[in-house]
Amino acid sequence: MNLDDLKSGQPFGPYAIELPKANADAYISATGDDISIHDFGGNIHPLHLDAYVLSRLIAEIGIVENRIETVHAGQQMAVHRTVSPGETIVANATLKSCSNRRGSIWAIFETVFADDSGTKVAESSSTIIMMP
Amino acid sequence: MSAPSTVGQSLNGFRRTVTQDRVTAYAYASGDHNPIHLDKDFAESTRFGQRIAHGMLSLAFVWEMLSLNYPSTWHKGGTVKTRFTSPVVPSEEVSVSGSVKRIRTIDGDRFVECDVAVTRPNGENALTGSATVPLA
Repeated sequence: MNLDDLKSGQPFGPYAIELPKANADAYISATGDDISIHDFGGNIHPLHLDAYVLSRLIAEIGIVENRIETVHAGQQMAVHRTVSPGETIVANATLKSCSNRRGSIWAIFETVFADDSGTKVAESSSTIIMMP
Repeated sequence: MSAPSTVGQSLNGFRRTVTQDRVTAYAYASGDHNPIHLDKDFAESTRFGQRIAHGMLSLAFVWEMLSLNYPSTWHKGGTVKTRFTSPVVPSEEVSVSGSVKRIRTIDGDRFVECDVAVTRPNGENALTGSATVPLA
């Protein structure tokens, strides 16, 4: 995808996410957070879901492939319930706003995470600055 | 330990070292293989001049602190809003901190609003923001 093609309101996804227990454990090991996982009763760390979708978004835009310098400038997240390892969650993202500021592209993505019944389990907002 | 619920009260924070191994492990667990975190040569060509840690890794530390301080309520309607203000460089030990800013009542339910931060060894904040946590 060419960055010039990004338009406000543009949808991304849906991304089906199914994180196995081994991947959930790898995330906990990487962050060093052995507190949250107990509070979640062994469930998926919500930030893991968010980080995973953000990675898919970044890949779809071509940031990694085209080695575009990028800064993650901000993040919001609200969690409504926990997600079990192996449970399928569908994430739908929208490019909420996109503007060019002195040659850098500022993009705000909003993502809604829902289970297979369509019930919202979490939502997030990510501000990404791309410097092509 | 009781959940901090008095304005001005500090949260129980901690320090953590962000090694390149941790950054690499995080990249594989999260799927974020942006070369600015992993590729030394590429990172040296950017404005940062070296590899930097994922901002979401700093946010994970804040999440952990909130879990530690509000073990029975953080995961039941907690929200967090942060800005990544300075990159963490691998090998740095960061400080994760927070304090109670105000208590709010919404539709009869009480919430604590906290300021949160991740601070680099040079005193710069890598992350600043706020979190809202239900009380009871």
